[in-house]
Amino acid sequence: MTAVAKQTPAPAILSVADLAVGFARRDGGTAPAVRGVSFDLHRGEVLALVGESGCGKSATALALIGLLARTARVGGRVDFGGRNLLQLPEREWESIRGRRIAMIFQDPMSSLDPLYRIGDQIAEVLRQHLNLSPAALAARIRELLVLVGIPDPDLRLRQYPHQLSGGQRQRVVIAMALACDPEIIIADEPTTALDVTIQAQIIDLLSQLNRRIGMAMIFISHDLGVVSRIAHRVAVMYAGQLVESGPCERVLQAPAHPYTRGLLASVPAAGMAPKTPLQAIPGMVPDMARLPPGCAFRNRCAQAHDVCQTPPPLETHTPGRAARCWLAAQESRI
Amino acid sequence: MNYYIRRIIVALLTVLVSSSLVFFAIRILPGDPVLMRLGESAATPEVVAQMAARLGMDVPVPVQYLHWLGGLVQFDFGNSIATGRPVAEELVKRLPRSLELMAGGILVSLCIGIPLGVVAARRPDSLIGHTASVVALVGLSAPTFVKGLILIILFSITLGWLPSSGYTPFLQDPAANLRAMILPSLTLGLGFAGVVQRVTRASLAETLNRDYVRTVRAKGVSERRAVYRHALPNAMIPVISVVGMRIGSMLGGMVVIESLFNWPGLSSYLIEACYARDYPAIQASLFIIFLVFSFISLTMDVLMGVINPRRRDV
Repeated sequence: MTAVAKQTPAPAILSVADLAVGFARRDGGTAPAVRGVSFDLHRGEVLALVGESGCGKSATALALIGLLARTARVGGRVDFGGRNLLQLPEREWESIRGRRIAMIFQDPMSSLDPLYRIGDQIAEVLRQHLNLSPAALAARIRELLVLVGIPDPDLRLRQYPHQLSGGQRQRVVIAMALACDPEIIIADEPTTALDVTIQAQIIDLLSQLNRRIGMAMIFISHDLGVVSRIAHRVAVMYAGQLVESGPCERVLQAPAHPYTRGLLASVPAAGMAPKTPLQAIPGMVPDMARLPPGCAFRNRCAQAHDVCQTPPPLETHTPGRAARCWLAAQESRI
Repeated sequence: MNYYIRRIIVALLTVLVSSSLVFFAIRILPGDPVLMRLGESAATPEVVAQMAARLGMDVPVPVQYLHWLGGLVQFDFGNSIATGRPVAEELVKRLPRSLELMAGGILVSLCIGIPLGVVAARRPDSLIGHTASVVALVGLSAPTFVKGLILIILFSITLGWLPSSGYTPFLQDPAANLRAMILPSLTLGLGFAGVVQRVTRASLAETLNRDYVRTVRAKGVSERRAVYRHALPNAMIPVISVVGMRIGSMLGGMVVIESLFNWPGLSSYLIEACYARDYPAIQASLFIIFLVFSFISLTMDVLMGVINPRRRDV
């Protein structure tokens, strides 16, 4: 498989195999959201899941922490700590969520309970999982606020969410995620709702925390610019499938899948000449309920040809890199 | 603090304006209290004039209004036209009885409405969820006298557990007072429980899908805690404002219950006063109802601030 890391093959702490998520529709059918996604996450690694809205990246994330809606149907395996998380009863999930796998959400303005003080919201996760004395609890909350770079922590922990700015609230959310030293943090578009300058600060913070504390992270984003600043490895998703994966800088420098190339061309770069048109990917994300046969990207791909009517497999073409495209397979063979 | 002082001033002004409107409105209505008191046939012009003078109604309406305002400041509502006794005396007796009934009704409605709303919101597509909503809807839509009669037939006539009517002052016999309260409170509360259930259901269904509840779940706390400590308190904010608005209108709307259960409260007094065109009694009862209404909405506002920290900074 693609579990070959660059130099040191660290053991995978989380292994996702053939994950499938579908949502029950009113008419009794199932709308697929994730269609057979497999990847490994290694200790200390930042893996970015990249794709447009609706490509299944958030559904993947929620499946990994057991927070999908009750109407969701899930298949495949997620191995973590010697167990398949997808078959975990709700009671056992409670000892994993927040303790061993934590999550950071997209919109800091709405992800804190408006009725509780910041300190109490952080305390909740600590009380749930660790048996700390009141003094140790207070010390830990303060330590966490300092760790995520909130100035004046003693004041902040007594305040309510509406008294903090968006960037500070996201720092609080990060502090809650870090509280119990989880092995994995899932960050679902943690900077999308923030101003650009704050975005950069939060990315730096996450990147720094990853280096200092060494927890692994699944970083979900649609923004390759942001991803390039933090991820070690990238997995690109399209229409519920992985279409390309590999080490971050190599995928971004030499993308193997036409979709990845399209995503890269649509990122505005700071050094770009003014008024340079951005290359949008033509067409729209296909309706997942009515996918065309063959390659899902076929309708929007400039290089599509006859063979694309047969669905391409996700193939490793260079060690550590895989792509779901007939072209990439050909190029690597030449 | 500033905000609440402003609210109190506005509330007092509202009470004054609405009471004044009532003052003039009832004088426009057909029906003359003097003639009603005397009986139309026996009334000679001299007798009518004499009686009008005694009731203070021989002067122009604006002058009557000033008299009334002057009395209001000293909490003197004048004497009842029907009985000749001070209206204030009667109000002091009757208001607590109505308030007691109202408190009982609200207690019943919250104790029934909130749990049914929670069940319906948490299990929207299950049998128990649907049942909760149907029960609430029946409670809401059945006419008050039907609910009251059914309760009387069941609990006092068939089972003989509770008195069907009557009122005993609390200080005289607390147990008898509370026993007599049960049926009227249930009748009053069942209808209101339907409102509480619907608002709770809609509001909780919404907060359960809020991002912060997902954040709480992601912390690994139990679903129970996520619902009762985070989603429900947030969902209570609209419930409180709806309850607050409806409580005020409850006070004047308890007529059916007070007459069904022979409960000598404020609503039944108001109705009697209306029939007799007893101007001072009507004015005074409505003034008290307006005052209670304003006081309750003010209390709700303060309560909202206690629950919702965002409101405190206004």
